[in-house]
Amino acid sequence: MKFFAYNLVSFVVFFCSFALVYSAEELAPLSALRVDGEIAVELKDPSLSSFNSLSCSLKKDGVILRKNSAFSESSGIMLAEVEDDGIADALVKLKNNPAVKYAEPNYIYRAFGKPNDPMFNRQWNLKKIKMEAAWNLATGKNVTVAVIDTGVAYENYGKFKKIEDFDKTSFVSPYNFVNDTSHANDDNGHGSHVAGTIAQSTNNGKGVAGIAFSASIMPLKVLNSMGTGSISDIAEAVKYAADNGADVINLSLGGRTGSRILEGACKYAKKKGCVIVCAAGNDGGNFPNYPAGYKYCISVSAVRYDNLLAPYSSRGSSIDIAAPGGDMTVDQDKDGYPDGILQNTIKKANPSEEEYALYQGTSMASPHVAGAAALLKSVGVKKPDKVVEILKKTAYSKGLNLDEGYGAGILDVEKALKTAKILDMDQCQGFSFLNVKRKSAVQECLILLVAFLGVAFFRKRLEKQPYINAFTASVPFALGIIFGACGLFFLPESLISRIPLLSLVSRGLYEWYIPLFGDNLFLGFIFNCAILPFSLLFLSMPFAALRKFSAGVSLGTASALALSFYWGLSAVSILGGLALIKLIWLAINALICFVISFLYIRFFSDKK
Amino acid sequence: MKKYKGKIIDSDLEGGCRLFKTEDGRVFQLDGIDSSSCPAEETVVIEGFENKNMMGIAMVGPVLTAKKINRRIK
Repeated sequence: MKFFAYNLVSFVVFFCSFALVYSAEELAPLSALRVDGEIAVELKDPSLSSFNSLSCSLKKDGVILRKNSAFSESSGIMLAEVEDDGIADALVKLKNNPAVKYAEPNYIYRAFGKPNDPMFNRQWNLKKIKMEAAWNLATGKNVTVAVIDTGVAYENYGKFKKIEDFDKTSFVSPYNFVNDTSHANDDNGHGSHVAGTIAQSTNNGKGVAGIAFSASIMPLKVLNSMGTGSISDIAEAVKYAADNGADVINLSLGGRTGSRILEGACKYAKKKGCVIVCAAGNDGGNFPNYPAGYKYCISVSAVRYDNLLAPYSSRGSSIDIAAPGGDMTVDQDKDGYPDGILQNTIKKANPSEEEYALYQGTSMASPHVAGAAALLKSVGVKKPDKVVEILKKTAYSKGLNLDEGYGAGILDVEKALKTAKILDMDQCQGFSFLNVKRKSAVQECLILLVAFLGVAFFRKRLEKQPYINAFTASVPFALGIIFGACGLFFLPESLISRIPLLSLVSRGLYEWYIPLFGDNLFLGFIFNCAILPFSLLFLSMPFAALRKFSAGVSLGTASALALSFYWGLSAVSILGGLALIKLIWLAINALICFVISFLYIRFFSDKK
Repeated sequence: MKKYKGKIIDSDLEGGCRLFKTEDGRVFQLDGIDSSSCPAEETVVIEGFENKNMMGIAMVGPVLTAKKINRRIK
């Protein structure tokens, strides 16, 4: 018993320490949202005397404790203010203080939600696509969006000025194809407005918000001050964007005539991994516009506040998705302004002056989808087709007559990001049988823990077997559980990439098909079932040590399949019928693995 | 080069575009020479051509590249 307990505790401690390291890495993106120099603290005793005594003791360490609100005395939730470089030390001290229940950086209590941009309330369009919730999931870090348009007001250059609400926005590889210079300045206003919808500086206390505000904008000028440009320049810009690292390309422009050169450029860019998003057109009819009409591009129609298609928006079967484009003839949100799309841009007549302007058009709808695509790219959905698949699958369609020209429905960024977080679209790093992202270190530890609970169950039910303790407290049995459940999941990627064999042993047996053969549906069913554990049990029968090992493998596999089933439940609504079949398969095989390991142990634990 | 008779329209689409609607109902986005001196709704004759090698932000029809705008229409 002691040996078993020792084994259990050491395994749990060992793996939990790795779990902590890994989970810290996973939380890292959130730290960007924490409030500088603030720690949220919950006191065990919320009374004034407790607050005062803690406040005095912290003061000497340079930490100032203050009430979070008028309700702090009843809730016990306080704020500790500290110099930003001393936050780590202060956190440790607070966590170790007996009067403190919890202490953590103040980012959790400041879920991004509503940004502090003063005109955000007028951006009904961002609320419609659920940006407040979506920003808690992604902001577009490490993604580049090419804006192929009239240029962008991104720099101070001659008569051109950088507009104020691009102060925190990053810009890369600009090019002016109209004048053949590297200064892609805007002399119309259209391109800056479009770029603002994608990545206007957000939560900077100025103006308005943008969808993927951590993304970089690649300003590419192909249209002149009248808003027209040649197909050759546009095609060249598409290729330039693809060759210079753009992940997403926005084309809020179009024409009636298709061009094989432009179509070829779009094909080229998509092949290089770019998501190409285009405005569907503003003629209110069913005429196809190009480049939106090419199969390599996402065609975006425009909706109003009330979800109706805007009267100007192109319609027809070539539309992929709808997004807010505004309708300046109405004020349905009753904010006292026409329902256009509000962004910071230059004044049409004078590029050195700026304004917050309401625009309407499918050009305004397109960057909503481009921004959403950038967010999806930033959470790891790499392939353009998968980005489109998620955007369309998660679009809002309830009560809409989709045949009218909504495509798959109205963009829902929150749902798209949540889906992307569940689905493993192209990395296939594991757990791919359900098309679900690789399990975290915490999940791997939970699988181990459940397997050890299974051991405890076996020992209780088989306590009369003379050798049950010797069997289940043996090293081969414990190794078998790890082999079946999770493998050496804590091995660093750098090491795994150098030694191919480690990519096998860093996973549970049920995932071995992925490094061996890639993501394959048939093999997924074979490996995620009881066949392998059963074969091992059968073949190991003559060998005492191997019997223990294979019984552990079977139990570990049972645990992994059971928890895969549990975690996969949330994916069913998104993945549909096949996922349901997979889930049933997992549940049945988890049960079979559990039963055969139990029977096997019962049979062999009465023999020495 | 052809002559097109119609009205210049100031559209509120896309932050403001200059369009040209011919008497037979065709709508173009204007390109080429500056039409800012022509007030909206004025009937004019434009000498120019439908430019199939151009695209634009208006997306309401083809681009009309204007070479000359004649405002004195009887």
